[in-house]
Amino acid sequence: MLSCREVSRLASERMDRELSWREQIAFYMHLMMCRLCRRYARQLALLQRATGKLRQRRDDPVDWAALPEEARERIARRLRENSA
Amino acid sequence: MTSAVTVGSETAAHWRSGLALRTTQQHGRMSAWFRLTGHPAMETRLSDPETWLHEHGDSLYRFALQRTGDPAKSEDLVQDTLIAALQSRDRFSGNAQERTWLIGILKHKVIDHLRIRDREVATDFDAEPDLESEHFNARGRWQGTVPAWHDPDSALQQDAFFSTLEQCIDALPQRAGEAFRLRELHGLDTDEICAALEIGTANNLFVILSRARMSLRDCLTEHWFQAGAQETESC
Ligand SMILES: [Zn+2]
Repeated sequence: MLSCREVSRLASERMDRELSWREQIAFYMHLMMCRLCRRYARQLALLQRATGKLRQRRDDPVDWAALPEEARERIARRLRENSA
Repeated sequence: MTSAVTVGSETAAHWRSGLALRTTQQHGRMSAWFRLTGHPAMETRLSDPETWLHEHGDSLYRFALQRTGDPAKSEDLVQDTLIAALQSRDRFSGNAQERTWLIGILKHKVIDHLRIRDREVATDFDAEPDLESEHFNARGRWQGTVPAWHDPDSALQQDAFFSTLEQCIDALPQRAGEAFRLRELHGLDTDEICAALEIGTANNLFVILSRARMSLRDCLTEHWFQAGAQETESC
């Protein structure tokens, strides 16, 4: 049986890598029996959802960003120099 | 909100039409360039560097901007990428898409930039407090309780909640903050983050991210959810 400390780690790691079958079973078995870890895992999931929304708010302007004309001309000039 | 979207679409339409125009003007010069360089094998595969700029410039710029948050640096990175591409175009594999190839070069440039930036403000990772020891007893069980979050769904509807979240991210220890931002706000995969922050193994990164998430949870509990932190809530 995993400790709460190990489960708290898996609750985070499953956001960064795929857990093995064995890890998943141990993780969910522990959650079934441990209210505090269940709560912690749910809070991390909510944190991820919140960060995703924060990212969206920040990326909206980036999605419309275009390379400024000045930079475009400067880069074109450099490319011509370098290919000459 | 509506007006922002409208302005956005106009801008997009504007650069799209500009793009079409430039591409047409470019056509004559493009074949001239090929005649000069005399690169028959490449002719059917890669277009000329100025066409790269016209067709992929905005995509490359956005890619860099999203990861660095720095417009001037992003322009430089696009330029460095195209010049590097020009110098190594013989190594372009015909199987790859032109844009994928360019993004691949840019990705390395972005990682190098982040690595240098990180080194300039590097702190000692070992000096950061070990949060987990505070939260768990010797047998690895929670020390005390995990405070509940009151009404988390309504938090996600409030601007003030996101300011709190940003402040909590800014308050993370330097390396943890950098890793968490690259992961969750810039969408880098774990290999890229290890390379950018010179973290030896993926497992070290997982530990750093786990601690970052734990301290963000603590910070949000304290600065946002505390008022409703009764045992009765479900989340
Ligand atoms: Zn537990």
